[in-house]
Amino acid sequence: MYQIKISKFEGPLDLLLKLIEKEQLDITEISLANITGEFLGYLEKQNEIDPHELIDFLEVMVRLLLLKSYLLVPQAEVEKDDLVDRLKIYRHYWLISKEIWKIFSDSKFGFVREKIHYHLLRSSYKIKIDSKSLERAFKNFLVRLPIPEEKIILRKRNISLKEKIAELINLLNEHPEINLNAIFVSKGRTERVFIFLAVLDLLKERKVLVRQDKLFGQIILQKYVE
Amino acid sequence: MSSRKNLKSEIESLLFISNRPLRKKELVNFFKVNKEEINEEIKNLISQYNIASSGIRIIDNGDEIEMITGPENAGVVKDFLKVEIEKELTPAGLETLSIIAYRGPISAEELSELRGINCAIILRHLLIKGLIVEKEEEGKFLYQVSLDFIRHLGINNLEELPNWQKLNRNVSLSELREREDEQFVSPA
Repeated sequence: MYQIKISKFEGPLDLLLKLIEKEQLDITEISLANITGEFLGYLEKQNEIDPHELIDFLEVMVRLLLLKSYLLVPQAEVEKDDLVDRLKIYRHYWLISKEIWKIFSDSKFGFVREKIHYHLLRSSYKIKIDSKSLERAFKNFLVRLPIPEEKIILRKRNISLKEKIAELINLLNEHPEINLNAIFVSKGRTERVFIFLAVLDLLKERKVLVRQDKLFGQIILQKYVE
Repeated sequence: MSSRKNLKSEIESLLFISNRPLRKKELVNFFKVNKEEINEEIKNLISQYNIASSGIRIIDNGDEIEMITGPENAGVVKDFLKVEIEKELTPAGLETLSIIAYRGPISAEELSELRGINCAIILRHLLIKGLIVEKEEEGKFLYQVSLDFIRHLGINNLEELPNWQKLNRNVSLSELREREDEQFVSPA
């Protein structure tokens, strides 16, 4: 069955038009009078009409009843109603709104720019910019640059503990005693540290004997013989 | 003859840089020239831009103009901006919009008379959605469609709507009534 629902905002003219279309009638006073009963029927079934919209439905209802009574009692002097005309005009826009929907649902759409990138505008800078002021600003910057501190260069370690141990063992094989202080004299600080570490290592391994007669005195190395 | 030599190109630049519709009245005040000159140059700009091969168009709702991308390119622009176009409208909203498009500027009373029902609430919805604009004229509030709505339709101005000549506001309602039987719209 053909269902007609009075949805929100769709008014009494919409309902009339749908009833007329349903019966395949033309918009005339006679056909309007004929669907009066149906109009009342639908109205009774609807509980959803807002009170402030109900007045519009009631107004049309009254006009329909007037039309019907005029047709039933032709001799009665009733002023002609403009409901037919209003419905005809309404139908124009009802039809056209279908056409507009077709255009509206089409994917054609114009886009507008939504943001302005004000940073592109020169006037938004507070300082005047020209080549002279740029040069001055850069010079000021150079003056304020900190003087670079002495560079710390990380060198790859080229002294190995293993080598120093081997060297000391060689020396001890050739000489019965080695004076560590004498070796130190020609060496740099890092190398001295490594030589000292090599001595400690050899001592731990019980490969050397170390003798120092007094505090800060000469350090003498001897080969350890069991 | 324009009193400003570069009025057309000046309006063009303002249209380009604006991120909102420009009111024609606003341009009259800004350039301190008369309405006719502004309208003339807008007309020139529109005929320059609104051609099939143009990627930029100028749309007009009577009071305002705005520069937009060509509706034919909606697909690529949409993909590029990664946006979705909202096309949501109730049948009643659409009907009200249609009447406003063809008969605007129109008052709430006239609108309610045409639709046979009070339109105050639906007008408020359409205003919130930005599909119509409200303006005051001689103490009366009148409604007309916004440039946003025109953009949604992908047309340049309201005259491009179907059967504009037969239905626009210059046609009296009595004439419309007489034409009821004419098959001016193909039934959906």
